[in-house]
Amino acid sequence: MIVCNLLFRYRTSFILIGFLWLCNESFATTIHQALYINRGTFVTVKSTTFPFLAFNETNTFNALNKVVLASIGDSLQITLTNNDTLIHGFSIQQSGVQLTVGVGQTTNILYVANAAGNFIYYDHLNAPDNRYLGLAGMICVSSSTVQKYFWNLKEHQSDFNLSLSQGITVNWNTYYPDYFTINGKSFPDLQNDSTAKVTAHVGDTLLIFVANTGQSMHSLHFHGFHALCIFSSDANKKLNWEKDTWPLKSMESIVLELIPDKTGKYSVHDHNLVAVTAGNTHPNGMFTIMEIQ
Amino acid sequence: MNRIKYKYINPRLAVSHRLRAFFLCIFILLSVFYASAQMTRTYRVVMRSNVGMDTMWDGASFRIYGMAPALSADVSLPSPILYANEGDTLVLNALSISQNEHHTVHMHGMDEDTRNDGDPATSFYLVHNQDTTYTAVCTHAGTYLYHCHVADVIHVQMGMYGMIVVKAANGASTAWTNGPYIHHDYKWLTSEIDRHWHDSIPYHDLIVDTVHIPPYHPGYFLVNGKAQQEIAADDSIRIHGMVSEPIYVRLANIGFYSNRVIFRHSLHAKVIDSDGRPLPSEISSDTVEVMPGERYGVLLQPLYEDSGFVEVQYVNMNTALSEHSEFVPVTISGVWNGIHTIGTSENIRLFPNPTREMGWNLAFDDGVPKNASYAIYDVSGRVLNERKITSAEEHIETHSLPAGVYILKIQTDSGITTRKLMRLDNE
Repeated sequence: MIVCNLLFRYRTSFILIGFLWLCNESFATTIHQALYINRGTFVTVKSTTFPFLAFNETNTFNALNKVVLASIGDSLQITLTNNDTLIHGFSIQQSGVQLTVGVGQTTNILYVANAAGNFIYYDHLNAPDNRYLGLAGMICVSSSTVQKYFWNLKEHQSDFNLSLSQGITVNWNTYYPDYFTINGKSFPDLQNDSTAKVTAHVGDTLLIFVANTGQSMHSLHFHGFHALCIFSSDANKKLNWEKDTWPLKSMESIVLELIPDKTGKYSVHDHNLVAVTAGNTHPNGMFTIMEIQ
Repeated sequence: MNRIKYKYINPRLAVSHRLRAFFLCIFILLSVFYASAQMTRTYRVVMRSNVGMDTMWDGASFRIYGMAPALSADVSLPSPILYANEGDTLVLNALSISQNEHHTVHMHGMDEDTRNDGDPATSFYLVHNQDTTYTAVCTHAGTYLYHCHVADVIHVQMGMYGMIVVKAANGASTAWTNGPYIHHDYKWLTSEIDRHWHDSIPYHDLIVDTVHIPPYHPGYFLVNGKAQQEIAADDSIRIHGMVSEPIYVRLANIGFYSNRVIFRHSLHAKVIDSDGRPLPSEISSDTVEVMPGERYGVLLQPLYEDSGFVEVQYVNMNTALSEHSEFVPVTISGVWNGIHTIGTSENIRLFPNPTREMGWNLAFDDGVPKNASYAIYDVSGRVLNERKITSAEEHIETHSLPAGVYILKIQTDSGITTRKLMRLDNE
């Protein structure tokens, strides 16, 4: 009788608590993400090729590493399968996740997306060789519903890929890449990548997740706009900076907020202008054009 | 008979007319004020690729392209600095005099619209003997660049670039409108030269502007187009200043290497803005990295007299190795007592000085300054003592200080001042 009275007296509170519990359960979900380490052939914008490795969503090789999306609070259940003929590693920046996966083996990884940001997952073994050969992608954590774009910056020296894939060591002090890509593509192929090519309207809020998974430094210049940094992997050093040219060292990531204030077409490119090339031909390379309507 | 008509004016309406006239006068005055404060700054930019030579510090001479201020003017490396104030409209009357070459002017960082962006991938380019006008509104004080964007990897390397300096509104001596006061304003534009590119200019297709570039291995590393002894001889580059003087250094990099600029500790460098926007909070750092296309504003307030060099390293973007350093001489001599220090010798008193074991007294005749603090540095710039100022007369102990010379730095809401302290041996 007393219990019934209490339940009746505090019925509003109980209903509210139950509602909040249900909300919490519905917003923080468990995401199952399959990742496969695939070896394949990278085809450049100039139709040349070199060996490459990537984390893909399926057993089929794709030069674009999977962009893993999560909301804040989500649990990410990653099932990682190594389809390669060598042992590989798997690490996630700022998480403590670090493990290895043997040839033909599958392992499970739990990653809780505690904070918004852009976190690079990569193969830490034989650093930087395995990562350089392609094994580095982005985990993008955001609860925002605005338009999002994903730019995985990387450069390639074709003969380094060939040597490393044959187990031959390379001298990184002589590194001189000949291809520069975003999401594994150079201009103009990059314009066909809807996850990279910004198409928006004046006043839209856009989030651009940028990571440099290459070995070189890159310096991305935006025409037409300054962008606001809302996440910086560099101890949040650049947080709330508003710039038109964004420097990214190797394995650095940022999230930029851009609110276009005018219509038109605006380029974004590496301002190391040698990186706006592919096979020494300009203007290919790290170069995209945003369309604002 | 002529009848004189008298118009009746209601006294209330008369007041209304006077008021209207008064507001009209105010409006006219404000219009004149704003018209004078916000101007259109017009520059002639003649883009030339068929003439132009530059000679390096070692006597080597080679072809350059450039953006000259007049048809009759020689091209230079870099091109002249363009100045404007925040709120101004910057107008570039651009003319291309370059047979077999196309050109544009891109005002880098000015956030101009597509028409005025000078990007041939999204807008138009100029052929030989063609002219146009590029316009940008200077919405933010800061440091910007201008350069040709056609086959930019070649045309920038060939020298078609310069700096745009947008000063605070009305040309105020502050880093930005209502920003920190600056007494000196140095501008360093860094770049590199691979003379092989200049000796044998890479082929570029005029129709689709595709460029086949050779390997890039620069041999000349420049600040404002100069290197080595040329830098030491250039008073617009080398730093002359005084203790406590607010010295502003604009760093801009148009090269293809990253720069690591290492200031002397005595200069007390703080990074305060980048790409034409103030940073959310200043960063105290002796080392500033500037990647291609970036600009930084660095405020120096020397802590003590000193002389030496600021090192500018040129870092390969692919290997992260520094391949070369240039050295900019620095001389800090005397104590600055400029108009922006707080108080005067009359309303801030320090006594006795020199002193012994009795310490120093620091008196503020105008009362306790707001948000004030003081710090004592030794001659190597190490902070020995740092306190908030909470009373109009502060006592500074000397028990823990050996005899010697120290610098007292007082900071309040309204500025900074420094004094030289002398501590003698106990009697």
